[in-house]
Amino acid sequence: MADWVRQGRVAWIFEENFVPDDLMGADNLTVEDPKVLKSLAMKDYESGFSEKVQPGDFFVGKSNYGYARAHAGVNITMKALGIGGIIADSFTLGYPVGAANNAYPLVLTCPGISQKVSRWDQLEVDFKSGVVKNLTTEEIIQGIPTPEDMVRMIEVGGLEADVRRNLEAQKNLKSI
Amino acid sequence: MPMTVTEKILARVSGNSQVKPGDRVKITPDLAMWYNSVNTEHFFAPLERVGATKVADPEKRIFFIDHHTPVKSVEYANVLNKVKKMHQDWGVRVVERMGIGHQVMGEMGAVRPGMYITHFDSAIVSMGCLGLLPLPTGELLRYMVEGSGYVTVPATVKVVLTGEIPKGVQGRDVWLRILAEVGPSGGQGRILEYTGPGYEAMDMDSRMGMMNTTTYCGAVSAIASPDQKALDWVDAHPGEPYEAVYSDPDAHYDDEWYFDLTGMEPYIAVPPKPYDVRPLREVLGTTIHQAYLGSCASGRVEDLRLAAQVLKGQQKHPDVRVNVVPTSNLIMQEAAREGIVTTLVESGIFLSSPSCDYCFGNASPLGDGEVCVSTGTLNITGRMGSTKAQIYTVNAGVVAASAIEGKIADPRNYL
Repeated sequence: MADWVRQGRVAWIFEENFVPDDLMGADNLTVEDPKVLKSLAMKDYESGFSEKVQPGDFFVGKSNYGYARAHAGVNITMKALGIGGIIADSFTLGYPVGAANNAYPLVLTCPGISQKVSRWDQLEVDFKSGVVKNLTTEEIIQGIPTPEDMVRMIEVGGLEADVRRNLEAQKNLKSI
Repeated sequence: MPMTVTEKILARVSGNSQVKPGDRVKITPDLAMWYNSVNTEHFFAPLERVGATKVADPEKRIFFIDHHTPVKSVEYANVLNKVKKMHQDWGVRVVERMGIGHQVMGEMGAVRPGMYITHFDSAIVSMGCLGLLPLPTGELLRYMVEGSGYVTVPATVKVVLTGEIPKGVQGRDVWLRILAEVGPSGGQGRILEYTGPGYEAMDMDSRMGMMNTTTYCGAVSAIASPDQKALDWVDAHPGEPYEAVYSDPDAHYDDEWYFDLTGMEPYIAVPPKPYDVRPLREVLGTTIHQAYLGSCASGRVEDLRLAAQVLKGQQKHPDVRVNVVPTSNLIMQEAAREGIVTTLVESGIFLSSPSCDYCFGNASPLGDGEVCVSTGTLNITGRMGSTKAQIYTVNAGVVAASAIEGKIADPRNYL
């Protein structure tokens, strides 16, 4: 069962049309070692980023987060950093689907979020209902709830787990 | 309630009498396709992991072998043989080495007006000009195993084109111009529905080239109510009977965009962002090392014809590798019949049978520091080989003119 309500700080607010591969940089697209990726994380944005971030911290994006295809190293990097989820004004069509397929990261579309939080603000985010509480400013922001079919998929562990479960349920039904 | 062509198709495949933007509906696609990607083994391993021993609705599935064509290693030959056998056992149609699937699906009459088709690759959007709905999916595994899945009904932007494209300018220039004006998130989550006299004047190859990379503006797909030109194209490629679907005249649109094509100039996407688009004149004179004409975005007869007009009686620059790769076998046949192939080969270019490989650096990769002008789909870092190379995406005429001069050049000087 996914932990839908999470607390953490805003570790970074990305620009519009953020390309996830930029987390590790164009020269490191084939790197998949978590330790190496953690050290490379955000190198083009801020030196020493991985030492400032804490497990559970969030990424915040402006519009169209997730532009272009993401390599495998992106999720490995975010897991190595301990990123607890991404909240953005909007995502590309494919990004939330890919995230739900992997059951990581949790993502929430929340129009206006990038203007309503600052770096290191403490947030409480309900990724299922879409409610974001900025504990630093005490503002409550309503995002777009995650569709039920995606909630089911994430709770079971992603696309493969969901399809496997459905397939097994079908087989069990036939054997009754 | 009046509906757009997209909403009508989604209503049918979701079993509803009507749908509206924002509805989350369970749909069963009319056709799902995939190809032998770079990670073919990674792609099919999940099927084994979920315990699938068959594919749902195999008669509504097509497996295209268009990447790694021709195969370049014993290792991959063995992988491909295994994967082909798997599909044959499932009863899925396998179409091998006939061209790029995004084009061949139309030529073999497998896609018809009014259909809903899906694929993991967004380039299927080219087929929206046939009056069908191509929606790329990140959940192909689900469609392969379960046959259906959920989608959110997108809102529609009406894109009205007026005027006619001048000589030396193509559908993909129209697209680049739209992308330059609306930006990478301008179409976000919506579908672009083309209409207007400028659209009607475009031939089918140009429409496909224009729609191919629609997702780069954040839109989910592109479509058009089929006009006579589209229906003639469909009827020239026989398949199942179909019922064309059209937007109601009073359908609701989320937005309307207007573009006058009169006097338009060629555009160019400069590296490394697909949406960093500028008028061609701003980049003229940049030295190149490779020129590529092909892909699912270009490489159709109209593209080859334009390149031949530019290259006729000319020789390609001695320092430039020029790869011309027709999008499909049928297109290559037509180019041969028209004498295009002879003109191109006489100019010194390298002609290849259809393949996806040149577009993603699996054939003729770029070396460190090299620059390529390309009609491929993407100009991102590392797309065609070295991460230290640069790719400019352009129309077919620009590729041909640049191939002659050894630097980025304007095709209109040769027409």
